[in-house]
Amino acid sequence: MIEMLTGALGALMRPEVLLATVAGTAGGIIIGAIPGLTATMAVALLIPVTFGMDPILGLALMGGVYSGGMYGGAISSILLSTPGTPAAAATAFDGYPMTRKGQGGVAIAVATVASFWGGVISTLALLLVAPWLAHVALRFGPPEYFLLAVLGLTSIVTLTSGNLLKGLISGAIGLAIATVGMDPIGGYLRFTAGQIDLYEGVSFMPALIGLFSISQILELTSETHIVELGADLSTLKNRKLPSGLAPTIARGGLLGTVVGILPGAGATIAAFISYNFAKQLSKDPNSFGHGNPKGVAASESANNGCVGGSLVPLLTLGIPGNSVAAALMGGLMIHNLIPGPELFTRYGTVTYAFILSLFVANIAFLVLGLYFAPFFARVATASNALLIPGIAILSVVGSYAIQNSLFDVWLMLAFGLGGYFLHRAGFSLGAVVLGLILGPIAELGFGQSLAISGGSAAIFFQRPICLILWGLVVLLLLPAFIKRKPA
Amino acid sequence: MNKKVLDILGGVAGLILAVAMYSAALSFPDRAPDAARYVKFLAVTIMVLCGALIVQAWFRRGIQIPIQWVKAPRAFTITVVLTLAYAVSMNWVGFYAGSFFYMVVLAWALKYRQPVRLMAFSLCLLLAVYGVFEKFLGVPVPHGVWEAWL
Repeated sequence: MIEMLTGALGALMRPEVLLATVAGTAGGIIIGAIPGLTATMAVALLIPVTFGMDPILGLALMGGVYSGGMYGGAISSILLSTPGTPAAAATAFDGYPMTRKGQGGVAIAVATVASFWGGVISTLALLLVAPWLAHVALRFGPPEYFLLAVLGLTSIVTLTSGNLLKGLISGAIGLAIATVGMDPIGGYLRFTAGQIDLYEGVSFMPALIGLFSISQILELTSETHIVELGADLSTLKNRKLPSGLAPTIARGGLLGTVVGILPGAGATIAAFISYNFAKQLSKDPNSFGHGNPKGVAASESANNGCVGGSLVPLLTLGIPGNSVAAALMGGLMIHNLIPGPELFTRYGTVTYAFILSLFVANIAFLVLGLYFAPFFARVATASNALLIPGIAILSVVGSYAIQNSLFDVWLMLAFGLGGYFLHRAGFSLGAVVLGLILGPIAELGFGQSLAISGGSAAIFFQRPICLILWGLVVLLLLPAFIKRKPA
Repeated sequence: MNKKVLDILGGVAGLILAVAMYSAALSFPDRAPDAARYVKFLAVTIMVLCGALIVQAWFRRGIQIPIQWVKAPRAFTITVVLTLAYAVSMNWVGFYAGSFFYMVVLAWALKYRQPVRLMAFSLCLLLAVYGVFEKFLGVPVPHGVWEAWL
């Protein structure tokens, strides 16, 4: 392994490979920051471009896009409450309130550093213990996936700052919306009203853009600037990080790596669970949702932790952890690199160079993010009269671009208007989003588990990993109910 | 409308939704037992939660503050109407022309009074969209009546 690592390091240090990694990362940041554009899209488009390239060069470029894209989502999430990627949705809960207080620069710096360490932790795991981790992930069956969804749903309790009942109803509404379309077990069409665009379910990205972005610009119509009156604008340039973030970042990075390894779970769930942990373990949970930097650090370290995590089953077993990893699999196969043990033996130099390029990508976005944070943060000082139509145009084209469909634009607007009034009525939009994300995973895990057990719910209590997950659910719920003040 | 009335009405709306979901699940064919079981489970959950919300609101005491739905009615209405008009017209006017018109009119209606900056911002934004979405990603945005010219 040492020999291959040395060879990989030599290959990585070639100027063109370093340049490709940095260019990919910069491109990924831009794509990640634009709502509707995803790293999956960019990586998929790069596959034919990299065909004629040296494999290390092509893979480094795609790895850079993946890392940069995951981080870039935080920028628009923090500054405009418009998550560039679904994984950055939880970042908005504390990032946007920080921007409102004039601390947008600090929030981006926190997100950058947290993403960096999250990425480094997961890449180290990928480098050192990938085969072992991949076999642990294979022990996750339908009951474990269902309980992982339940674990994610416990975040509703954390996300709800007012009436808990309304938070739970919001989550249930999200779960109900997620039932639209083909049921994941039998393929039966539900609640589609004959609309072909709904056969595959409510498209998640337009819903997310509508709930976070459009509802937010409608809120902004009553103000002249995002930054609140009286906020100290000098802090826009302040990049000094708040202290005490290290445990939150380390926990988020590890959690992201573990969740990222599980195929189908993904960075969004990891970010929500990490946010939940950070809030429950905090001495001041009430400050979350009002601009606590730990909220930003928790979600960002977890979603970037998924980058390396999602590559573990891909490189070792040929099972992509998420959609970007699936696109990357195409990138590997186009160069005749078939995922499996041979990647770490016969093609070890290329594989390790690719893994090491992820470290370079993390360093690239750390430097770029910290340098540009104060410039990015200036967006929040622009007039709302300019920002409102600007964000709306990006939301429209972002929703349209997912499937080249105007139906998605209308879906996005419907979610935006509905979300605005739900928010005004005291319901939690974060909980609706969580229900939407976790609905399909929960339903599939629930249905498959009962099919395996012949209808007995005991299957959710018999397996060791299930018991651990139940323990975590209780661990997260108990303090929330003990600390909760009456609404 | 105050919070108490809103919560009761919200609870009733949720109950209606849950009953509708449950009835729809009853009509699912026998070959789709999983699809029906999960929907029924969700419908019952929503029923219980909404019932609890109604009870909680019903017994709530104290001064009830009216809900403020919209803080700036003029700006809110203009934004909603223009955004809907923008979406409706996109297929006919085309994305770029529609977006430029929408940007300028809405910003002006929201009292932005720096025409040069407004034009520059609009053009830069649309150029960026053209470069990233149309040229790099090949997204075929609607061109409307300009289709024949492009």
